[in-house]
Amino acid sequence: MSLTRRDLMKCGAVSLASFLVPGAVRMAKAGSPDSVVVSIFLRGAADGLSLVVPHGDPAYYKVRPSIHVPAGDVIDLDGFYGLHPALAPLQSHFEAGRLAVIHAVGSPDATRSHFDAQHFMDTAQLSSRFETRGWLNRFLGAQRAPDHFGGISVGSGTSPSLRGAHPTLDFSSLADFGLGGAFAPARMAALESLYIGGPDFALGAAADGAFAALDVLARVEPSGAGLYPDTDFGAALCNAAALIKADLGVRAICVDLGGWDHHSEAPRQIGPVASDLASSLAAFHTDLEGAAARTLTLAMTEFGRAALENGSGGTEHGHGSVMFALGGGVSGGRVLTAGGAWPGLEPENLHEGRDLAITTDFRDVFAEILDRHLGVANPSELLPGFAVDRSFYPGLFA
Amino acid sequence: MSGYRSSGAHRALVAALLLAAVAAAGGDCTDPALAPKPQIEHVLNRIGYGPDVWSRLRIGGIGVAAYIDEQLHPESIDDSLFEARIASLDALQLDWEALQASFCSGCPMGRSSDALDQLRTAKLLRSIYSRRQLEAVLVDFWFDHFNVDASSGLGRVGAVTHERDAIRPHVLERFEDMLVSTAQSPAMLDYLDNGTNQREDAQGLGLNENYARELLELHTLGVETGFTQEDVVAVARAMTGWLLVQRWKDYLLPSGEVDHERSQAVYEQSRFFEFQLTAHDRGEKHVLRELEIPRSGGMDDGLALLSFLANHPRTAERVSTLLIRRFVSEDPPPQLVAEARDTFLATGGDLREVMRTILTSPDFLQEHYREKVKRPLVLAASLVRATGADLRVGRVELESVDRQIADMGEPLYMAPEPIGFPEDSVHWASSATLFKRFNLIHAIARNPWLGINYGVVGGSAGEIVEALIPRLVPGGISPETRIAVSEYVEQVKRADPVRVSEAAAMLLSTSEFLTH
Repeated sequence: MSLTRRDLMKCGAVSLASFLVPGAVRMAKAGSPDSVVVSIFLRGAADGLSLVVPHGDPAYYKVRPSIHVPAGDVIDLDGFYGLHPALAPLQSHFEAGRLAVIHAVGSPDATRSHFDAQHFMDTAQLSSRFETRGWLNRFLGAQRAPDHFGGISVGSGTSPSLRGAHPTLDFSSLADFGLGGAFAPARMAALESLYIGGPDFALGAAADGAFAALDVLARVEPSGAGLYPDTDFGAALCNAAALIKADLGVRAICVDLGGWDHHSEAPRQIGPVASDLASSLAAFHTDLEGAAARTLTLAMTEFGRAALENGSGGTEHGHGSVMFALGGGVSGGRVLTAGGAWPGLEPENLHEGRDLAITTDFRDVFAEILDRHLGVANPSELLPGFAVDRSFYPGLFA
Repeated sequence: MSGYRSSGAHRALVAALLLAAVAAAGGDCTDPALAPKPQIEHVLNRIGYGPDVWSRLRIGGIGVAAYIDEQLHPESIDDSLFEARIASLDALQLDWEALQASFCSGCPMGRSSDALDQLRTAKLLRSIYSRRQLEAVLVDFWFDHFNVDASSGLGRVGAVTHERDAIRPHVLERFEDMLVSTAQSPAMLDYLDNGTNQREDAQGLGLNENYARELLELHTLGVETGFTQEDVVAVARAMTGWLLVQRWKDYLLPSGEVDHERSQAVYEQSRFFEFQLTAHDRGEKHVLRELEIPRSGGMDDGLALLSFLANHPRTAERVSTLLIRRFVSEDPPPQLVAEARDTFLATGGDLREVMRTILTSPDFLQEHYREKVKRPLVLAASLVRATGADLRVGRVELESVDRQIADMGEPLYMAPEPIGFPEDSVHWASSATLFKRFNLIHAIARNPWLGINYGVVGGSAGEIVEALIPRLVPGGISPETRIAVSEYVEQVKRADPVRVSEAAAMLLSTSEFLTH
């Protein structure tokens, strides 16, 4: 009964999309109703100091005496910051100005609980466990995005960022979405009559999405399977690219990539997952073809890891980390911090004496993307309790 | 949230059945012969993996109250039929040392990964065939609470002893004992890194806060308590020296000589819990401004800490809340939480008494029927139980069910995060899994090789559906559902056995069966 997570998700390997509705490949500008945000949540608290190394700061080597990325291995970006070697597939995107890094970014809330911090980021609301609506669900509702197809979670269940009143869709793979076995058409009709029209409870909402999606998803054919690494995350992005290119009215897609909680043996652990992230993102960008210009991919994590390494060759839960913004008209090739300043890693610079401080509130990143990429007129309305001020935008679109 | 498509109609039906039963029994609605069917279905659904033939007969014979009491004493229930089903799974019988020696990956003579496969098989079979249904549900609940991810590290073999030795003996005993045993469980020591947590000045190693934080946040108090980073460090310091260590042992060749290659390989891959005073931080510690651990202590520092946390009112409240989310409602009634918490505190964390408070409450017995969406394991197990299908070790159908549970988002023993799988109907009611649920149901209900006998030979569509209801959905179905299912069966112009199994599959695909 051997089973790995690898078996769980497949991206159908088929020829070029045979289904493209007329106009599907039209070019669209950022900020238009065709613009898309793909939210990649690096769950488990990814170590920003290993992913984008401040190799120009001597204090980095002091706080990480045994687990720093060796200077010779860092892929230098600008003389001060450099990529982890496992992120090499992103180097050309940075150099071509398609990839921006936001460093020392995170939540002003100081919690070191994964679950609270993820919840705050998913809902873009600090310090409230009672808000359950995801920030992207609020966006879909305000934009009157299409039901079900406007927001799609690829993976296991509805992403918390997409949870809420606006109907969205979740699926794990295009390849096996539907009914098998004998009498399938008659069964499908009977099941539809059993489930459709039942509002107001979880199963009914899921059924509404599933039946609505059935015919449509059957015609969406992933075309980029060969580009991606053979991982669940690669398969998820392969499916995501197909959905975007099929022009279904998708505005937001959520995909999770876990496995970042490296309390021990961090250097050994981060390589494979960082490599999965980078090679999948690079493949995704290629796969998107003409849709890449209207698709902004944002990778985020709930908080960073402590600047100081711990006693097991790993790191504890920390504070500031990094975000990556790829495509969608991002003015990249830059590592962005507020005012261009690096908060530093000397003891007096550290948050609570141990963590990378933040200079950019993650909600400023969300606000800039809502405003300048997704065309939301008043992002304040979608970020309750947060006063949007354009002067605090990280400057993704310079 | 209601578990019914037409919840009003269902509520009226339940109310009518309850009233009729109460009237007939002279007001005593626990009379075994007259316990309302929705209540029987509800109890079997929530304190087990749904009705099967044995549980329906048993609860019908002794009544709801006695059935619950019996389930609270699993040792009193003969489970030999189930035990026989898993007798061939030898990994589950081995002690920790033998388990590591036999299943370490890459060892000569080591069978690489199938200890976990055996554990998954046993869990699925236990959920389906064990008569100790409540115990099976509780072990699942507490494994989530003290989650380890068996997909990597020591968990591949450690999940076996984590469940069998650290969790199962305690699920109806003292919470504190379970907390202490999980703290020493090799899988936990590896997964949350306490096995490397040492005092700061020991040979270049030092503190690891991972276990300490989740001990406070997930295992005991909860994050709402507002513990601080200083508390996390103090807890980590108290738990220093609870290590995973290697031990050398000579393994012999058949000739009687030492098998050096195997001994070395087992040594390198085996880990044992051991308290080492030299790695323990012996300074004084203060936790939550409530617990003072004096200097010069040893392993008793950690034991005092775990006792303090296990018996803390916030832990009592959190454990009660989580149990009620699982067994009663995902919107836990505050009064019931308070009662369960009080029982916890009054009994020193006796989980049998906490469960008794919950399971004998009107909130459990009379409310929240079919309010929760079945998790994938619950769906699969309840499906097999309802149909009476015979799944056996080594059969492809069993492996297929395991795979499909994983494909629906619940790969057994492989929840990656320390919080385990979510107890959350909105999460499990996903578009992605809905068709997978229907496909699994159809594949099992229609399978001619599993010895299923629905006990219905034929008749009109309406008669077939009517005859299947008491067995498959004994709590009843809505009038709309009855019409839709019957109309479907009308369309199946085939031999009677096909019509019956199609009717069964459709009944089992209704929201009435997908919820519990």
